Amino acid sequence: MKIRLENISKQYHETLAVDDLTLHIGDGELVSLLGPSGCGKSTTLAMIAGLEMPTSGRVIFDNDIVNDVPAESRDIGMVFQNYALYPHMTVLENIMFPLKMRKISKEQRIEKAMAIARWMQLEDLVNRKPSKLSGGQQQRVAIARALVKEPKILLLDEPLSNLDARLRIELRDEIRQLQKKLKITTIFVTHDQEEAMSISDKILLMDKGVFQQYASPKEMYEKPVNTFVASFLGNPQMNLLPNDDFMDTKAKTTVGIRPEDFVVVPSKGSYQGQITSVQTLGKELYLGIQLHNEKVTACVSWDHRYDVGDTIELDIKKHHLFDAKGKRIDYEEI
Amino acid sequence: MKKYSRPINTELRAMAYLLPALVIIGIFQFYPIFKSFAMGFYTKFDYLTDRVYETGLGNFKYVFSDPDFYLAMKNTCIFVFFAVPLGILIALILAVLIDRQRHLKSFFQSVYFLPFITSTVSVSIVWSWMLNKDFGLVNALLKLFGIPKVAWLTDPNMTLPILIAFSVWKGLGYKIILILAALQGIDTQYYAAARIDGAKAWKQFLHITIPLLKPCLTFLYITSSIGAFKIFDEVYIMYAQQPGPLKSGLTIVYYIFNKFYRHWEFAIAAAAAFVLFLIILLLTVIQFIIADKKER
Repeated sequence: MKIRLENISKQYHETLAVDDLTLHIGDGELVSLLGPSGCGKSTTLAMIAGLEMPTSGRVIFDNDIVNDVPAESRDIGMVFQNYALYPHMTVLENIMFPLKMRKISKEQRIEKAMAIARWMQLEDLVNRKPSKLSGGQQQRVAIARALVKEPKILLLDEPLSNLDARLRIELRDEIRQLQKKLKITTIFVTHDQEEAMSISDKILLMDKGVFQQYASPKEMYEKPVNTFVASFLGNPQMNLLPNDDFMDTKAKTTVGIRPEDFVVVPSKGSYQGQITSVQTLGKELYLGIQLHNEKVTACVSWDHRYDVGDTIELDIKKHHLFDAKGKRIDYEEI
Repeated sequence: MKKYSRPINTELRAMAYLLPALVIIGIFQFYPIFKSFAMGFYTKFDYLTDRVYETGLGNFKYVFSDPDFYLAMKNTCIFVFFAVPLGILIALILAVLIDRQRHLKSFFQSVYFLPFITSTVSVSIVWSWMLNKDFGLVNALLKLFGIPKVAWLTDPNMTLPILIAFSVWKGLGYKIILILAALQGIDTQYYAAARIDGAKAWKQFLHITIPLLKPCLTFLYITSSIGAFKIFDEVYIMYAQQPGPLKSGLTIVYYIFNKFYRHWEFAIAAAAAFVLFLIILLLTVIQFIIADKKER
């Protein structure tokens, strides 16, 4: 099912949680809503779910305006951040609940719920209460409950944030595979840029309720439209430096250089810098470098020994330019 | 050795702290219970000197052959049977409505709580005036709608309904406060999830609110039942120290009171009191067992 948001805004008392957002999501796509907390991504999700009403604008599923359709009639599956499994029901009863609300006969309910429980590897747990399950198991039950009624849209509200790192990566891949198999239009809310990058077809990045960029992970990483996007994506962050003595453009601009775009060369580099800190990670090193008057971070491999105080020669593989307002300047425009 | 003596020391100290309260409860609660149980078996004794000449089952025999006792049982049971569920049901409905209020929540909460904190005696007097056949507010109101006077307090068929209404009304505030607290303890995410799962308002109430309120409702059911079995004050005051017209308001505690203070039949009163104690104990145990079974 296609989803279109047209100029939707959400006002809570004095605060504008979502400001004039327009978004098209294609059938079967997985789109991440990404942004720092309070950016309006959960509110946007709630408006798609029908749990919140937009103050203005239209929510369109395929060709139907669904603004006035309440959540209970929208045919959506949703996984909540804390899973929201009904504590008084067993796993099976939880999974059957959406079917019960559709007045499906008890035999069919059990049959369908057991089928999906088997599929999600939950069959041994069906008679347990949610409180007797681990976080990962609860997560699986929540997904099973969301999918059992075969919805056209699946919404995931920070579904992995309560799990430990290893399980998070495991379930992330599982969700992706599941989504591919079912070809279900999915919206995934997260504040974790890595998670969004690894799972999505497209990412919508928001800040303070305002649309920033909507693009594929690759495009967003390679061509961030402004300094906010540039610094939000990527770890460690992109170095943003005033363009006084880097480039020869006259305009008051900012130069953005990703840490991995610095190359250490043996001699005759374009720039010289002094190492101020060395941080060793598993597969790479982060170097703090004093470059002209700025401190930058470079991400380099292990092949050399680096010490604090060393002077090194640097080249830059790639850089980004932003104007005084932080907007991206493409090379063609220069 | 020193290592082991410490826990005993703390235990002793804890006991020392608990002792004063235990002594008071022991003297004023447990001793009377056992004494009255024992007194139920006294058939010949001197009340003032506490000298017992003869014991037996005579008092219990008397109580169980007294038609008044059966009438008191019947009245009390009918009262409990209606007043308790009705009181909880109405409190539940009002609590849910109050919970939806944003601005006047505390106002409604206080209004419903007021009857609970006023003394039963004074409220009963007010009720008896309101229900007065000739000068009462209720009949005056009915007259506005052209309904003839009702002899509220002298018609025996009206006694139990009035007592039930009184008890429901008086207990509302307490129950509402408890249910409201429990309602606010329900995570709103469950309602969001239920809506996504296709549950309309009534289904949400049925499948989310009620089950999650169950511990609170069970508690209210048990405590209200115990309280309801002990109904006495409202009858005594509203019906001018009488058990209602034609004994229509004769309850177990009234029966006990009557035997003890009016007839000075202490042993019979003790026997009846013990029967009441057993009934309440039995009901409570049954309810706990049912609640426990359902929990599993």
